[in-house]
Amino acid sequence: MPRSIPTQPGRTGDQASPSPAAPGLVEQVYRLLTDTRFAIIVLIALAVASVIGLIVIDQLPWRGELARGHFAGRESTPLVWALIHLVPLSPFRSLLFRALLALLSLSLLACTIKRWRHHWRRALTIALPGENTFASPAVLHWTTRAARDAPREPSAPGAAGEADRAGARHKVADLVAAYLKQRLFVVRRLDREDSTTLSAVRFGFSEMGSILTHLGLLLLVLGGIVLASTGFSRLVWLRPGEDVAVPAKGFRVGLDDFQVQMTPSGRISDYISTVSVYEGDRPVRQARVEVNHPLRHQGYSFYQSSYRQDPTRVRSVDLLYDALVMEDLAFAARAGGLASAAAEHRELPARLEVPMTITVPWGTRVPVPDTPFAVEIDTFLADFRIEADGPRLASEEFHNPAVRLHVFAGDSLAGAAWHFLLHPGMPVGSGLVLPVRFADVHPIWMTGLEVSTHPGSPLVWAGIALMSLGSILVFLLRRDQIWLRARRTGEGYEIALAHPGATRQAPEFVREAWEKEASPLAIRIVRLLEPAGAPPVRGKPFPSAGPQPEAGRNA
Amino acid sequence: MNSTPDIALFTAAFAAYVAAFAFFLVRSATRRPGWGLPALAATLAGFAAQTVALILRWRISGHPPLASMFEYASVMSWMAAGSLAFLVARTRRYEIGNYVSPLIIAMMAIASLVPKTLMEQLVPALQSYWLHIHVSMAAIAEGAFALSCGLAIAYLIKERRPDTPPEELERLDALNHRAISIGYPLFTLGALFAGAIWAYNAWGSFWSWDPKEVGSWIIWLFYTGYLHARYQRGWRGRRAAILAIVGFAMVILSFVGNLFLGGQHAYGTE
Repeated sequence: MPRSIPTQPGRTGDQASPSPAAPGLVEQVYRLLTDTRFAIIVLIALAVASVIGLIVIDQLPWRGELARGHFAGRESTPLVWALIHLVPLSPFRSLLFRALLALLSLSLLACTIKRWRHHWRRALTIALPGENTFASPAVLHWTTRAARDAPREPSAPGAAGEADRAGARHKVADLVAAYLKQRLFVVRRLDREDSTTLSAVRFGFSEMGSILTHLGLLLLVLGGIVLASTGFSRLVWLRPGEDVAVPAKGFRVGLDDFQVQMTPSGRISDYISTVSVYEGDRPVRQARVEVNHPLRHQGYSFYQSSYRQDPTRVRSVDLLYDALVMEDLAFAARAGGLASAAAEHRELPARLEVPMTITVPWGTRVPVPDTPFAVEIDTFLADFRIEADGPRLASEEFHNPAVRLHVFAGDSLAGAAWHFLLHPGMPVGSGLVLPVRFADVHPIWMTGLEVSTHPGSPLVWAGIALMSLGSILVFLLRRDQIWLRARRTGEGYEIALAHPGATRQAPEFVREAWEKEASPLAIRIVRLLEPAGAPPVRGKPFPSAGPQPEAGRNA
Repeated sequence: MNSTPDIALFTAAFAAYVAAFAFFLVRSATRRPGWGLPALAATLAGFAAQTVALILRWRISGHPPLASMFEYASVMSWMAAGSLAFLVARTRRYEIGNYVSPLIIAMMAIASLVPKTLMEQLVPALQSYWLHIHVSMAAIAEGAFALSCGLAIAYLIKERRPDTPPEELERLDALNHRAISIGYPLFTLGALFAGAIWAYNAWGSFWSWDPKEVGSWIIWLFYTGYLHARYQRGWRGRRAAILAIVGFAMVILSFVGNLFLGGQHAYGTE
């Protein structure tokens, strides 16, 4: 190791002053966090974790909740702890994923701190050209013909001639500055004895774009974590007349009406909840809640999220019966008592002589015409299933609607039976079972309102705003800088234009764009300097400096 | 309603793009520049037919053609075809067509495979002006990514040929970067931000890790990595080209992912 710095004998590591070779831990971490390679690795890790998360959502059976149930009592063992905490219900809320997001945030923060000063300076300052700026082969040069053709004679010009030339140069500077300002450049000017140099920058503030995008993403990630950790969201099902209370804020939202609108072809076109907001008993606001148009009140949002038919309540049911059969039943009941009548007339014949319909609204006892009986809905189940402990709601769909009707004779309960919409001939019950057919059901539409709070949303909005602004600055308004030098060379003038984007490495067509812009300007300048001279020629720098640029061509 | 009049025009556009690809190939194989013009003309004819098809579909359904997988794929390929025609007409570099037109054909093929049912009534969630902003920006961005992928393939093939001048490669690399610099901000603002704001209004949360959201997030992470590798690590040329191809492969995966992953973005898949 011939080039390594030898450790001085007698000096221990403790005594050694901090050297660049041994940065402290903080420094090392900072360097790591600001390293682009590290950022790229974190991005890749996040992408991989997201792919895994996407698969885990549907595929992995042993997620946290299941693990908790399966390994009850062993939650402190490392494996079960890991299953519960590292692979919870949503993989995107797992500790692992959040750790990656935290690393991304730290990297964003460190990069912002590291690059802030550089970008800030570039945004606010207009740098003068460096020593070799005009020596680059990519610099465009124009010379006046006089200067190009005339032999270089170091003549001693008179004071008047010198003043004229200085005046001309100042005119040039004014002209160029005005031209550049028209094109939104900010111009800085430096007059020297034999030359005038202009430094111009356009959209310097776009330099802050990269900082803004990084800060914006940081806010977005933080906002997302706050939202996921503290946000609240619950689906509430409401029937018209019901309400949902928000005790924390002292208000409640009552559903006045709910409409499901259909197209003639039977597709849902919209569903709209009309709600009133009450503070105490005082209505303070009425609103329509539609998909895409939520109600927001005191930090709570109410979204039109879903709709369904109430599986356990109905507006009314329609019962079909035969007037003659019902008359017979009434007669039998009067003559032989309810028990014999019930035994004889349980079922409705397939052919009805005098079909009649009776509509039974929920909660209302409806008399059956021309009989001493009345019916009332006791229970409704949209998907009836019989289980060991009795009838149950198998699902919330209307797969097997069944209604349990109470039959009253006078004021006393005479019987109760289940009637099935899909199996009209099979009522099941005890006591007096009316020979009626459950013909139709008028459901109650329930609105599904998603009630949620978004505590981190200001961070998210700020993040979206900053990143959008930053993206526009970075990709649409790129900082543009040019340097122009007007210099007297012998009897003539030389105009040199340099653009940091135009390098030997930059593809030709990148240069073309600004050359197109610069050429007419340079020609006007040269014309101004030598109004009587021959047309200026774009060509070699004069005196030539550095490698030669491309061959001159007529401007 | 499987055969609305726009489908015939869509098929015609498909045929025109296939013809354009054939002309581009013949031009390269025979080295006769005369084939360039018919290739450009066929691309333009396909673009025009597809434009009319999209307008017709818009008029029939009453909403912009951005509400199903078919419509999205069609708009995406329409964007790529328009960009290709513009690029070729402007730069006169017909060989770009060799690489970009097969991608357009691939997108058209995907579009022709998914159901083309025209939904006259949008589901309530889609009845929003955000449909225009979010979906059109995402489709344009992904069209730009398709273009960059074609240019990247062109780069990789040309790089292997010893007679390719370095400026040609530089130009392809720069154009590829240009396409991604157009696609990336559009994707960020349109696919992610406009989508998040819409989701906030319609679904009640900015982000719900729906399969399509995860797909877009991965695509975004990937192109973010690409830009950092390019700006900060100086990844150009071959490496940048490979990344651009992988990026577009992700776009396609995320698109067809609707069919088997479902989720809240699976509109018009049945």
